[in-house]
Amino acid sequence: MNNVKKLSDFIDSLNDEKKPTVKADSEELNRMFDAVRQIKSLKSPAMPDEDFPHRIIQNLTEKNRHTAKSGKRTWAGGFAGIAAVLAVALLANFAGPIKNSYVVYAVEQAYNDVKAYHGTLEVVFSNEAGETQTQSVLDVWADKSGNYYIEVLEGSYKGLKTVSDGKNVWQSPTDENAMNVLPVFSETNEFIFELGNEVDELQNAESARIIGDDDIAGRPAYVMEVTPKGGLPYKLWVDKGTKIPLQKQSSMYKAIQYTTRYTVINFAESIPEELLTVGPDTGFKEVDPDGYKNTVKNPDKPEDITADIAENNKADSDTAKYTPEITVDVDMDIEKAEQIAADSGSSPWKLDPVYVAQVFISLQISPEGIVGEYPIHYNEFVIAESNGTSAKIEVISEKTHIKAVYLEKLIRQDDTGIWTVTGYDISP
Amino acid sequence: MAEDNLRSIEDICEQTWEPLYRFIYYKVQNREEAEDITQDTYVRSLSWPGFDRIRAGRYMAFFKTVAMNIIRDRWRKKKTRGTSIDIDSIAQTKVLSDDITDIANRHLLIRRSLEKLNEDQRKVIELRIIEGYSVSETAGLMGIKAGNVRVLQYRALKNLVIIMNEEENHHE
Repeated sequence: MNNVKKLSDFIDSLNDEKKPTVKADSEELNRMFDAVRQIKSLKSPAMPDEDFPHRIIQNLTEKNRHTAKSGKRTWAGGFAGIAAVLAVALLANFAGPIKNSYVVYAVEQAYNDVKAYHGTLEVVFSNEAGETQTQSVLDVWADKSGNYYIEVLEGSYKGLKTVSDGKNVWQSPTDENAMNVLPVFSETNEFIFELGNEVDELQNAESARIIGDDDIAGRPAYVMEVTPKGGLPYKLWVDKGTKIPLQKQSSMYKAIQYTTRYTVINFAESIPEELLTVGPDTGFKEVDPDGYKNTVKNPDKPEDITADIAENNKADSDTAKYTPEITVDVDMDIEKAEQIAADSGSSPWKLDPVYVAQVFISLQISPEGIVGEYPIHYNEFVIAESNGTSAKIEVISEKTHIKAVYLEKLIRQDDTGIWTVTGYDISP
Repeated sequence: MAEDNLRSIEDICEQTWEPLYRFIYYKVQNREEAEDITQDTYVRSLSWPGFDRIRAGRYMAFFKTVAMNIIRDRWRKKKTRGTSIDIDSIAQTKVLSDDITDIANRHLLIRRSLEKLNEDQRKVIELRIIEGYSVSETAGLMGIKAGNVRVLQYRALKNLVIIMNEEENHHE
């Protein structure tokens, strides 16, 4: 065959998307073949049929089974032989880090492509007996710049809307009374199960491995066991299709377990602008994310803005300020469980020292439990001292003999640490 | 355990097959060979004992390097069964990075070179290679005999190789 015919046959093969059988027996012809390929690269590639990725897997799987059955390890050349080697290698090499690192990588890559998302988030409480209760259902919009919009669809604060621009947080209560009693850390102020945080946590985890398959809201998902550095392991459900986490479940600890899940999630270019609008006429008021005093602030009335948080955070070495007359015994095991529960989104009021003091005093007045409104109003508590990890809350009420409550962050001394009552004063 | 392993492999393939296939197709320019080399790349890469030491973020670059070596090996040793790829040496060398800019520059060079061919030569290459017409179809469209199409495309490509070399040297 002369080179003119060879070149034409070579072009025909490529046009037919077939592997060329003709060989270049000269450097000149080889360069011409190469030129043909380069010219063809101006066109879009002919993609394989939809089944191609499945065929890859199927081939690998079938070869694996075949080898396992025959017990032979043969080198037949080509794909079959290589696959036989692979089958052995699969068992030898894939039991460890590859599996873990890949899943984390897949989630990371998938999240990289996300610009914003809109979902329905459920927070579910369950006990050791298997009883479950939906604590809240939230409508969530979030993007990667830290903006989010959350509306409580079901739960204690139904109707409450929370908006953040990544730095500041605004809330729109259902009515003024609700605002008056609203703890700063409502179940919507601290955004639980934010995908970016979940991906970060997964990346930094001590280990992460697939332990099974499941179905979340009709979507097939991998179930992963994630062990964070210095924490209890939790389970994470990752959508098999999108590789996005859909559900998180804390370990059962002290008979308490929390599950947060996106029953619906869709991805978007951005959060609708109207949802992030918190202008003067929208009913939104800025809240203080640090949770001290009456932190509901009206952006239109600077005089309404209460004590500066920075002032509260000033280092205060005077431990006498935080020494109560009467000390309250603390069970650290219970506190650890409470912290874990709070980390999972439960009892977010534990992050607000005023609210913790209010619950403590209320239980002193009504040890059998609180029914209806709290006996002492939230506004009747004033932060007298606070350095961020210790606080003294004064009680301005005649309904109790307790005049001040002392609290500390015993488990974790940052913004996510829960407050615990460590003592109180009865003298004026 | 084996089921878990296969699931992980499924994940890897699902996540990477398309960019890997496109990369390979760009080199070989036919679907049959691109599919074959894509499969071969996974088999060789995943069965390599040192694969678990590769960071997940480098999988794609590693696959591309293995694929490139398979392509080179196939083209070099078409008559030999099996290959002599040393994946250990691949892992130690710098893996391929995405070369979008290189591809764009290459396309520019090709287009510039095509413009330097005479009209008939450029036409025959457009119809035969870019449009993908057969020899007889091209003959019909150009109003010449099939035999002349083959000769014309041969001369066109011979010229084009020279022009592309000149262009490359000019821009180096």
